[in-house]
Amino acid sequence: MTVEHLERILSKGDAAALIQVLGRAAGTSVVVRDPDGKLLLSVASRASGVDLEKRAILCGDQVIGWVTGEEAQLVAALLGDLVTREAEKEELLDEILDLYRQVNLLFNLSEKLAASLEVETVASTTLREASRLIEATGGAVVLLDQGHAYRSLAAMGQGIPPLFDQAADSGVVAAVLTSARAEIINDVRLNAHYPEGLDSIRSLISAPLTSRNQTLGVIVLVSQVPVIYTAGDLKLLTTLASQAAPAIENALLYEKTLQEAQAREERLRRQVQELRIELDEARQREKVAEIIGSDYYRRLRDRADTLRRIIGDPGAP
Amino acid sequence: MNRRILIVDDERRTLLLMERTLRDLQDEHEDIEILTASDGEEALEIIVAQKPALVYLDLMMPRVGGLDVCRAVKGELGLQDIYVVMLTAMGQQMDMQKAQEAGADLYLTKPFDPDTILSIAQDVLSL
Repeated sequence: MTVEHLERILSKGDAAALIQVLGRAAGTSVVVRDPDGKLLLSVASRASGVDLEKRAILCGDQVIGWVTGEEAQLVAALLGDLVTREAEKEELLDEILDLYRQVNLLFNLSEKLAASLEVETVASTTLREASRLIEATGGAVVLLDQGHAYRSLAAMGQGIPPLFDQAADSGVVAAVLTSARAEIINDVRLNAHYPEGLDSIRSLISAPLTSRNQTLGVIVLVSQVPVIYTAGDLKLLTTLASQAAPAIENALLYEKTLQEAQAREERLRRQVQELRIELDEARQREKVAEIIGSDYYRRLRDRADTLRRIIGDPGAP
Repeated sequence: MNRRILIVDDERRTLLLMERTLRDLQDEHEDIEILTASDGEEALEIIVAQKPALVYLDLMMPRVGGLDVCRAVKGELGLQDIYVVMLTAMGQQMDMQKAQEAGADLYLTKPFDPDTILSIAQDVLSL
């Protein structure tokens, strides 16, 4: 990378112009090459007759190029210093850009979570956003369902299932749920909670989903290749988890309310049906009573009684 | 279409951060040229001379502001093909509306998301 920095500062103009001015002013020649011998800069001198030296351009212990010329030592030191500063500047810029990414991620996540009432959507959004900034080949959001079983709300990538095949009272996920503490395991094979015989995961980072002092579940990111997760990664995942947990809790509440409303609706529907049947029966009874109480029915019954008496029916009144 | 990108901002820090963001793209595509300007006047000079395909334009700048530059590009200069992304520290609805009225193609708030900046450049430059 620092060889590229050397090329960049020489191609940008400022450093190259400075060396050219210095070279010409001192009447010395300067030739700068990369470690493979590729020419990066050449300043011709008025023939000085002094022997040319060759000096390495160093960035730390790394040789990033060579300077040949009468003042090679000075130019090599100058370029080494410029490259070191350029590398440091770039590191700082990258750090700021990472912070920009995080700010935007948290802002976008808040908006997305606020717009979602489905627990699976909340979980998968959180997982997707987390994996954008934290290196992972897989991940999951898991809920401890009724204190005993896991409920996977979202999963992505590979290497996840073995973690949840274990009983809910043991294993990596259970350890995070119990301790309610975010955790980094850079080599899961050395961890006591990791099940034996599984070698699909090398590194893991997890954070509990805690809302109102209650651990609802856990968000886990895993990598099948070794990753050194940092304190910054852990802080970011914990922040995401703390944003997601209340949203998941709300979504669960909404899900429960919806289920209860559906059950209530079903119960009401059944009650209405039963009432309707009762009402129909009552109406029928009323109709029968109405018919029985009518003059026409009475006359008909009198006529029938008369006929039964005529024919000598023993049951006739 | 050329692959010139102009970044306009009066804050040197923002110019450096934008340049750093876009350098990843430049490393993959050598024909991408990144130009910078630190005020609206300089921006207009570069736009007229180089006609970049994409301009990331800060809204608040001394003398000639981003809105004026955008109006000039999309209006009197007749360079409607130049894709203009307005950037501002303020995320207010009114600024967004002003940027739209000035003809901006997109409006983003600072601190910008580097991934969004990259994906816009990829789309506009058909990378």
